[in-house]
Amino acid sequence: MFIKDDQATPVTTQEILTAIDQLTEQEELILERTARWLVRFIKKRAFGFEEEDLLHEAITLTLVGQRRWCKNKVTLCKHLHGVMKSIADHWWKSKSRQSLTLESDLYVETENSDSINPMQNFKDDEATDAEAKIIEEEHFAKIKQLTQSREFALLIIEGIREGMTGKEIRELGLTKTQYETEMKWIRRNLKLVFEK
Amino acid sequence: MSDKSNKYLNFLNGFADSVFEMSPDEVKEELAEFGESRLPVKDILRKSAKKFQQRKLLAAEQVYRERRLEYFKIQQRIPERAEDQRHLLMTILDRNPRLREQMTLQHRDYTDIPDDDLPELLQEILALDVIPESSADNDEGAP
Repeated sequence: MFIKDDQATPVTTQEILTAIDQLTEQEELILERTARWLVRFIKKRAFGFEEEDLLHEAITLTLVGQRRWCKNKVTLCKHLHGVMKSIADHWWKSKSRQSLTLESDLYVETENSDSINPMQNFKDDEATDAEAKIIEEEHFAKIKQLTQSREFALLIIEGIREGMTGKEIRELGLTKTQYETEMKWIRRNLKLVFEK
Repeated sequence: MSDKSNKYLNFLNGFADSVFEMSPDEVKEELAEFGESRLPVKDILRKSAKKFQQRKLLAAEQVYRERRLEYFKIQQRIPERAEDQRHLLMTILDRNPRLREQMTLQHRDYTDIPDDDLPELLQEILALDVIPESSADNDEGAP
């Protein structure tokens, strides 16, 4: 479920608090956009959890030490971005609200300040179930319909589906401007797809 | 982290990553276009951090309360009179040869321990939790 990065230097609560205070406006916007996009994608499987819950969960798991922030390698913004993706992934795969109780609320702190995650042995709900598959197919059908008349949009969507990065997709033959224009169009229209 | 075989999750992750490719103006433009209210990101993170800190504090208080209770329980087992305290100490040491050895190392002769030091010493020994309550208590106060 959540993998501990044992290579990371432990960060103190105070260091995390300071980093929160030092987030720039742009970083706040990035985190907000990330949270909004992730929740938009998993809305039908998030069992009522929203953007605030995603941010709360990401920072709490970081404070608990379950998701260690390598502050010398990445900014707090980048770290939280990664943690939110991981949580969204987990929420999408969870079968029920009951199994999706916020993990951070279940942590038990021992006398030695070690954290115990009582959910770590409950991995059997990790398999994406049939309901998720149906929603995925519905979404993809709508996206396909949306992009069928736009060659570059279709190319980008297919690339992302295959797990390619933006850079890798551009290498398929798109200029930076073409890619950015098309992504902008996709974002605008995808929002409508998920709102329907 | 992400399972590349799940195309939906690739899609989800790919879109989340694309946020980093957006310029500050693009982000603001999208925000305005989507008509979404801005999330108070820093406030949400600070509030979560505060909740986490309070939880740590509550856990520490719980440990303190338990230890305090334990301390008073032990206090109740220590007799008031020095004579009885010394008798209790002897009884405990008679029944615990290993403890007696350690005591002898520390004090050379534990019979010379001043009366004033006895309550604290008994508190420490009883807190070790190696003495079953009944075995020590049966002799408490007995001359």
